[in-house]
Amino acid sequence: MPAHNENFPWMSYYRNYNFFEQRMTEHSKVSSCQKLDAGLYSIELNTGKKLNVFICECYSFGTAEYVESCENYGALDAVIISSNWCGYSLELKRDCMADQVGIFDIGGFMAAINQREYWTYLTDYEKDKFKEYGWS
Amino acid sequence: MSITSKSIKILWSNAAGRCSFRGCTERLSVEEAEGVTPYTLGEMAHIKGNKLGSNRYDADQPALERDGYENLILLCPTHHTLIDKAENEAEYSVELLHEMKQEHEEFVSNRLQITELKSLEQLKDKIAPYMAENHQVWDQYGPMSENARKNPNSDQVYALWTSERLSTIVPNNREIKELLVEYRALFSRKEHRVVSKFIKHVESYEQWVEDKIPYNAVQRFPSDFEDLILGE
Repeated sequence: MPAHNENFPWMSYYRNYNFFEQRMTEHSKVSSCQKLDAGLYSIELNTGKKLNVFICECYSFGTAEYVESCENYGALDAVIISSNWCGYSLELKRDCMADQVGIFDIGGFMAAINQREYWTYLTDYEKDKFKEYGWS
Repeated sequence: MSITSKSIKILWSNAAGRCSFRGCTERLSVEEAEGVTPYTLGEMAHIKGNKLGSNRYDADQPALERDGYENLILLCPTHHTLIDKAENEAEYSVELLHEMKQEHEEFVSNRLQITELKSLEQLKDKIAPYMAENHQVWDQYGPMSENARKNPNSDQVYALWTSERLSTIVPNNREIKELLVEYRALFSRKEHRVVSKFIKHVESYEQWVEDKIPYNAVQRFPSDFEDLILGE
């Protein structure tokens, strides 16, 4: 079930991600933020590393949605589920971590890019859940 | 140790977001959260105090139990302050607080069981207001609401949704399910399938809210149940 749009790229109501763009331009570890397509951004970090980042408002982002996103936009380095009402499956997060792809909400992504292996960043809630499931 | 989100969710939904102090039942609102995370709403008071010197403190209580659901009671700020005043320790004993908590939770879960229902129409009349209340909350603060669409990054509006989900939707769903189970015989053979689907929805939705299962395991709300209850 989508928060707003049913189909890829599950755009927001206003068809923009101004909040995210603003956060990126203010982030101390980001040197540039370039919009490539609907929900697709190239984020250049201060280290020179460029990340292909997909942001969307898909209500429940799981493996099928991730595969669909990669089919449309190619390999991704990170996926951000923008709306507070939307979420992602922890199984997808775990699987993507193995491929060095990060799955986050906006706050998670902001925190994750402070560390080199950004895809390994877990919130406290996720740390507890990973421990509970025996994944870490 | 801190109170786990699971304990908070169970406490909040079992108390239907209302103060459990005898005779109070004040609805606790999100305004009391004052910018803290959505789930830490209301006043979750420790029955046995959580630190040395606090009322009803039990030095032998394991840390895990201290912050567990069993040792917590949902109260409004006034009554939380009252039971934790040093001079009131004897008056508000562990036993009395457990009693109040149990009474309140029983009151919440028995709200509907007033008179015996004799027909399907009476049953539908009992269920309809709960469904209407849930629909109103969903419509106003749920993922498809204008609020969610236009303010996707608002923590405050999202806090309202999580609060309403625990204090309205989950308790109402429990009521509806209880009625359905008790008066199931009133439905025709053909209608049982949709009733079962709704019961499964209620059970899995609550398990998801309490973090026991992932969202994709939740049975979606069956719209044909709404037709069954509200249809002519």
